[in-house]
Amino acid sequence: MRRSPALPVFALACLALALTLPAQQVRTPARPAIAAHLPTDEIQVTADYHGTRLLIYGTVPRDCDVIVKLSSPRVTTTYSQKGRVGIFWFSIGKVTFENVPWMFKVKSTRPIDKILYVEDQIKYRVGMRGLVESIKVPPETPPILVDELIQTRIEDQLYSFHEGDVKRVKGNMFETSFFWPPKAHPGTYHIDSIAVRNGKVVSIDSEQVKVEKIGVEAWVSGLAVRHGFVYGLVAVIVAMFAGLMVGLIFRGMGPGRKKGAQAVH
Amino acid sequence: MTIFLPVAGISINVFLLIGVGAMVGFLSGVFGVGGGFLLTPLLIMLGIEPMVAAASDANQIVAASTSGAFAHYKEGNVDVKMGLFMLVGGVVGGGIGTFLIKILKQTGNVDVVIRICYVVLLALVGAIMLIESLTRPVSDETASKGDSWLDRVMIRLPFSTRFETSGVTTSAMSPILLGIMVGILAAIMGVGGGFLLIPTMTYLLRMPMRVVVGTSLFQMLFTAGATTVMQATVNHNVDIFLAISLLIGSSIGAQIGVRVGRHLSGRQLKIFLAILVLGLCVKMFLDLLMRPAHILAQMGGH
Repeated sequence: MRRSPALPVFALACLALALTLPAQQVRTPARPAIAAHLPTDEIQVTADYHGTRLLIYGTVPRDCDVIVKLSSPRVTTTYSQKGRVGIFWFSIGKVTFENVPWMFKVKSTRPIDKILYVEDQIKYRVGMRGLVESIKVPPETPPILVDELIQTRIEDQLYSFHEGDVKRVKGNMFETSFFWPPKAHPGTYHIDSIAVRNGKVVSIDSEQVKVEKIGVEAWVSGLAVRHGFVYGLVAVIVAMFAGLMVGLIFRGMGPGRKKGAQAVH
Repeated sequence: MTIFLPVAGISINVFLLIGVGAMVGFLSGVFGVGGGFLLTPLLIMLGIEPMVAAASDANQIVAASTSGAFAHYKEGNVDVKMGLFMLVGGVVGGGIGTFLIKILKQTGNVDVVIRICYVVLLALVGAIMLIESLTRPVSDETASKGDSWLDRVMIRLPFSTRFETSGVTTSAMSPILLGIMVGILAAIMGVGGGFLLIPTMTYLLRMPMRVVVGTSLFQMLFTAGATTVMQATVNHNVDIFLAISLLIGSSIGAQIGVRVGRHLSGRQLKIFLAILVLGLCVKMFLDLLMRPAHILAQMGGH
């Protein structure tokens, strides 16, 4: 029995082709993957900004559950810890948290514990557990401080965990929305739409949204941070000008004089 | 209409800010007092960080005192020499205050210290107002008796200088020291310091009333201006949008206050203001005693 020389050559060719293929295609071959769509990839912060809500929708296999996660890059952040000193509450120390996203929101079709194994929650950093496990603190830090950190962020609408807020539409569609509060920093935000089946992640679609300050808002906050002295001078000149204008307007209106002059006569 | 305050980092209804400014402006118009010591605590209660509230308030004082200072200058009611000595002190004091804020910021205690300062200030101002309004006004003789320990200290101070416009001779150190105190208060608490300047200039330096108001406005304008620039440079805590919103409200409120004040009896009003100030003081004190909503606070604010 002789083997055809064509077979190993063919196999090698296949392997070479597979290696050159983009990684994504290899991971999710035949099945239709999850695909999300955002109405925009840019949020503009203007002078009257008071938060933005973005609708996210997409397609997903009918038999999958969906988890949608919004997160910003992870950074190191320092907080002061308060404690009672005498009768008042002073800062009694500092706590440094590593690997903390400024914003972190997770929504899902059903409770995450029911649709995704704990190992995958931690691996893909979803849900409250995924977040808590990924934040690093110095070893002697009491765990309650991590809860405190998350609570303050939840109150500022920077973090949220809503199970059941992803809706299924027409069988293979899903939709949800995320709110960027006024405290959302400019920068790049990642939105991961995760399809889950039998407790495991099947497919992920990652999109990005950029938050940018524009117009007067961008100019003012940029100047305030980078050129404090110039900003201070501008603030004083604007205030003096405004003060003089107001004085002139009211001087023209009847007998009333500016309050300072009033006190003398 | 919501406005996003770029430095304070919060979005807030602009009419609420103008309304608060108008209310404080109205009171300052009726009573002829500066509104800084009321404005900063009210802003803190609206959820603005204490150091941003104080620094932006200093910026607002620039606007509030410009017109009056200019009018007094034109009428010759400003003792420029005295004002300049105070201003030197004011810039030094403003610088000291700005660096104190910077240090407190690093230790995470800036909020609580500003609040405590306010409890003390409001208690003092409120108590003095209440006593003043409940008892007979102090007669001129008692005011100028001139044998208090402060008078004796002041006579011993060196660098005796003649101030022509005011017609007084005093040590150059007195206006400088007064300026330093006012500057520190302006930086830490965002107040103009009129409650300190006017009695000191009247009773201690014995300047004529005509010159006292003009000179204090003159020095307030430039001390607040210098403090604003230093705070913006060192601590980045001046919010210009916040200052402008407050200014619009306070200038309108002050004009109405001046007109209304002429038709009202002073005593009841003063009792009312004193009670308001003491109420604010008690509220701030109780807030300090309570366990904060969170035992963690972000360092550096932004």
